[in-house]
Amino acid sequence: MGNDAELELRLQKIWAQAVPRQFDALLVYSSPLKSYFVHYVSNYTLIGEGALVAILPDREPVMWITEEWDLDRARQESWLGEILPSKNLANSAVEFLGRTPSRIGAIGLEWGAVGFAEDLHRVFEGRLVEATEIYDEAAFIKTPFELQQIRRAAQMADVGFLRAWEACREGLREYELAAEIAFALRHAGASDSFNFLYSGTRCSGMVLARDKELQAGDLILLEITPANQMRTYSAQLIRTGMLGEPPAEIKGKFEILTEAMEHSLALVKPGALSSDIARAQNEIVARHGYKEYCRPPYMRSRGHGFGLGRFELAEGVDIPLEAGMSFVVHTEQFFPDAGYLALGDMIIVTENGCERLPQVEPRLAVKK
Amino acid sequence: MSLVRVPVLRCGRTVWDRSRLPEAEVRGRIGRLQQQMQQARLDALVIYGNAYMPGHVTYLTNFVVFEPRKAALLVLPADGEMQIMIKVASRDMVFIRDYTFPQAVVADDLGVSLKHHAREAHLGHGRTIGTIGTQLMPRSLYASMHQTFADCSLRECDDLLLRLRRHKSEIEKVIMSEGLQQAQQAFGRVREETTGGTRHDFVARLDYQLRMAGCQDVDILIGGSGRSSLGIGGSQVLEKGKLISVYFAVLYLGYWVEAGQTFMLGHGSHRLRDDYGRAYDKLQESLARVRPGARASDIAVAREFAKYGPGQGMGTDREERPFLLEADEALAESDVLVVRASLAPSPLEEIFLAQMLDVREGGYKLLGEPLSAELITV
Repeated sequence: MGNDAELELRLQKIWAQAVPRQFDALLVYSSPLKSYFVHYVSNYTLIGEGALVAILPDREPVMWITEEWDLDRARQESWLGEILPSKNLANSAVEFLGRTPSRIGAIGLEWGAVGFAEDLHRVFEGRLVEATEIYDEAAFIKTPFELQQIRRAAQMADVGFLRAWEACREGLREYELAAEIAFALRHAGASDSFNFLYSGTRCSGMVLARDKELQAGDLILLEITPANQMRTYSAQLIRTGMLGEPPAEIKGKFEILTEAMEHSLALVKPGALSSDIARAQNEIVARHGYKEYCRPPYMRSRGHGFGLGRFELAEGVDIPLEAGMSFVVHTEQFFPDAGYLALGDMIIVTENGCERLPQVEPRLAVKK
Repeated sequence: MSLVRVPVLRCGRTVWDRSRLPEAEVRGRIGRLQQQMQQARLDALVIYGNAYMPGHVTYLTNFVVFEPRKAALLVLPADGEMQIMIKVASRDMVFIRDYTFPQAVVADDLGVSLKHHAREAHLGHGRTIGTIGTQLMPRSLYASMHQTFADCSLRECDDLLLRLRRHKSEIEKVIMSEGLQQAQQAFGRVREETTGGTRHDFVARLDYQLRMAGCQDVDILIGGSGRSSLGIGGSQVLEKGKLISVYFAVLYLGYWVEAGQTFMLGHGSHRLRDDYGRAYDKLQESLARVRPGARASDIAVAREFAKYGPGQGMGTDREERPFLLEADEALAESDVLVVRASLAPSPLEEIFLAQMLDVREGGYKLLGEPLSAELITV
């Protein structure tokens, strides 16, 4: 399955970061913990112990995978023409690269076990430099193909929320609700998903699904994050709802979230800083008397990206926004008199502002 | 050889079901490990688990590392309470302390937390510190650990815990058996409902049934029907007269179980039924040799039937000893393992079968339901 144009574009972006750092070869590694490093340059989803891709400026990349039984799938799925089995990734890489590259950038090695990392450093005898930041910088701005993947993931998130809200009823257990969400996402095409939730009357944090049954009067907080092929192509939708009519106090608090999020989204445009977006939300929340709850341990960030090129929207993180970046803007806020409430939309930065991806309205959902 | 994938988040049922896994059982494990430490003259153990291999930590705390970005470190003194350091957000701790022991603490940086704890616990000059699972650590954390214990004697002690983990208690076998039965029943329901659709649709329906049955994590690979290897979903339509082979591994109350099933959609050729019979017979031949003391090389199916590996132990890790690929590995009573057989009758078809069992005196007891001797058609 080829996508030569997309691969070429990504390799150009990677080399644009690698050349100034004087790398003449790159090794991209995925352990089972982080399959997206290899996926980014190969479109291969890892199964098993690991995969390694060698990238040279003057030839096509080569990939080695540890699972020989998976070669057929790898060759069908991947954009790369040369995929080989390997019982020892480090040895395969050094046999292939030989002694010519004098400075080799290693991507993803920090997620590997110490033994493999040591092996790779040893066989390359001082020529290897860990350089995952190259990848992140290359992936800050998404390609049109990637943005389409993210838009599709946002559609999946909408479907996930609608199914979740339809399924919500008294007596449903949290893990059953989680199953409904996972099914809706998978059925819509998600390859994986990252979903947190909360049910109860006072949220101390969205967590994993428990045996707890949903009850009348429960707040339901949902953080739904499908991945479309890989983690970097994720879209997150965060909504708060209630089983029953919300009291005025909750409605009032939720209006603060809405005001904060809308105010911050209005500032999103090329040239704005990521810290501006976070600060805008904090100012609104502070204006309503909750300034001290706009920092850890109550609140960590006001949004972030996913996978490669991830950055946080937080005061003190001054990343200039550019068209083609994509991230979630979320107002998760702790109120000492109500607990956490949450709201979040996935966006793409455009030339003039931002494209909001969810179709699900950013309002407090109510189920009577 | 591995079939493992790690999801971005294990977001199924995440509980400590104390009616199934009593706290006393887990404390008993900790006590036995401390006894071994005292015999080995260790002052403390540092034990590491991540989302790929969470088993050491799960075995001693019920906590399964649920996210690849996160990991957990335990420091167990030879005498005294275990320190549990988990890399999660501080606001998650209310949930975490119900999911594991209440003394668990947040660790933004495991290396820093370890250093701080080592100082507080006086694990310094002259102490003997055992390490378990630390080969899985990333390089930076490994280096940080060595720096923290620079004045100590560090000793790799994985065998201490691997030996304890390998011998499954009756409570563990009940959990694994229940998990496998739930998984097999879920599969049966999905299989019976299948009239077509795509591979992806089948995987989504099976994933749903497994999560509704209380599985914390689910991994499904599907093959056949135009593909001669197990793979991830796919838009290919499931065709009548073709085989559908399914591998599924589920995490249930902290324990991994695995099943491998093959069925046919509609009626197909006798040849495929015969091929299924061959794979089934090979698996049965393999099982017939299972007994305490048998060597892995005696049990493992012939290479041409072991495309995905002949099998291995399962427990709080998805892949653990005994490994049937290691020829000299001898089975022991109370090993719980999965045995596999596979066959590709053509480049576009595959049969995959896997059966779990518990090694007992004289032979074994099946975990879960036995595989059908005849190819099931729906």
